[in-house]
Amino acid sequence: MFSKRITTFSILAISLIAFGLGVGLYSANYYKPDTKQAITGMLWPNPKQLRHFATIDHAGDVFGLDNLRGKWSFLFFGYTHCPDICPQTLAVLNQVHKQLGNARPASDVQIIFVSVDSGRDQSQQLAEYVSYFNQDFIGLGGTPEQVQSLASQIGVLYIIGEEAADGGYLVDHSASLFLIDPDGRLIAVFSAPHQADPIVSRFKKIKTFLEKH
Amino acid sequence: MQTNTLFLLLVSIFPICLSAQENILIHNAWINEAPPNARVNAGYFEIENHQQHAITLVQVSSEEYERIDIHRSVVSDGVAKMVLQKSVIIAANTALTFVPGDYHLMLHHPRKQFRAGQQIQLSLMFANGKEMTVMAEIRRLHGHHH
Repeated sequence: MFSKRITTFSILAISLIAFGLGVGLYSANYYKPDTKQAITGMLWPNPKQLRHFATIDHAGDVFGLDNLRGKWSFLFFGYTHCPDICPQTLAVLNQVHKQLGNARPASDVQIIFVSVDSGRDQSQQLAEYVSYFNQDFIGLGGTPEQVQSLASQIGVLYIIGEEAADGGYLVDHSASLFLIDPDGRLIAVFSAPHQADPIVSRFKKIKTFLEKH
Repeated sequence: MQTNTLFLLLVSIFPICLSAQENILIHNAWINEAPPNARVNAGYFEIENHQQHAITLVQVSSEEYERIDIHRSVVSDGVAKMVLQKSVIIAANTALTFVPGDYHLMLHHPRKQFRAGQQIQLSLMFANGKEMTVMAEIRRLHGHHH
């Protein structure tokens, strides 16, 4: 009777320990930063290596893949005649830039606004526009083909709308933020709506993650 | 769209009058300060309808802008688009807030460059012919939600 009780107790105890171990192992595995879903928006284990492209920056110079190498680049695609989403996103990116700048020299992070409106956004227009938000921001544009050489690789959609009577038109464009790593790989896509704090925290996690890989 | 037509029909058939305008409150009206060369701005405000029936905003105008459209930003499958609103209905005893990323005014071709702190007068026209004016403050965006 007594020994039977001990046996039952032992079985119960062993089962509990085994269950606990199982949960522990499962949790450890689940929360391991290596897992695919660990960082929202991160394209891992398959980041996309960008190929050569040629856009024109706000100073009028050619801006290509080499200009992305060695830096972390946040890219947002929009247009300067966009009153709502674009200024709001650039203001958020200004916050991101400031927050990252406080932590360390911001020189390894560049924030890039790519205009998909080649018809209206020339270098001069872009220069004045992006510098309003932050003197360090980079504006990119060029001919539709030049813009497409970058946008198509990232999978950015944009649709130029029909002209109104006054010649104005709207442009539908991707609302996401794209993060390119210093090797020129598209490493993360952050979906709208954007807020600075989660962007900064995900960026830091991605950076730490890649330093270990 | 059908609802709008129905509403306009009802308004024209029945002698519904928007009573005292104090029953419609517009507050926190602001316009984002734009980069110096921007040809468009966005405007936002909150409108409260304390009446027992819906009101329909059909037009907004200002002497400081060539044209003002009512828009709604929509993000669908990751693509942002602005959808022109011919009218906006504010149901009885409800409030509607125009905020970045949602309903907003698209203000075309400012007559001059406005700086943060300046006040711009906006006129709001309703389907029943009533008009309200409101002062909107030019504000610099800081990337926070308003």
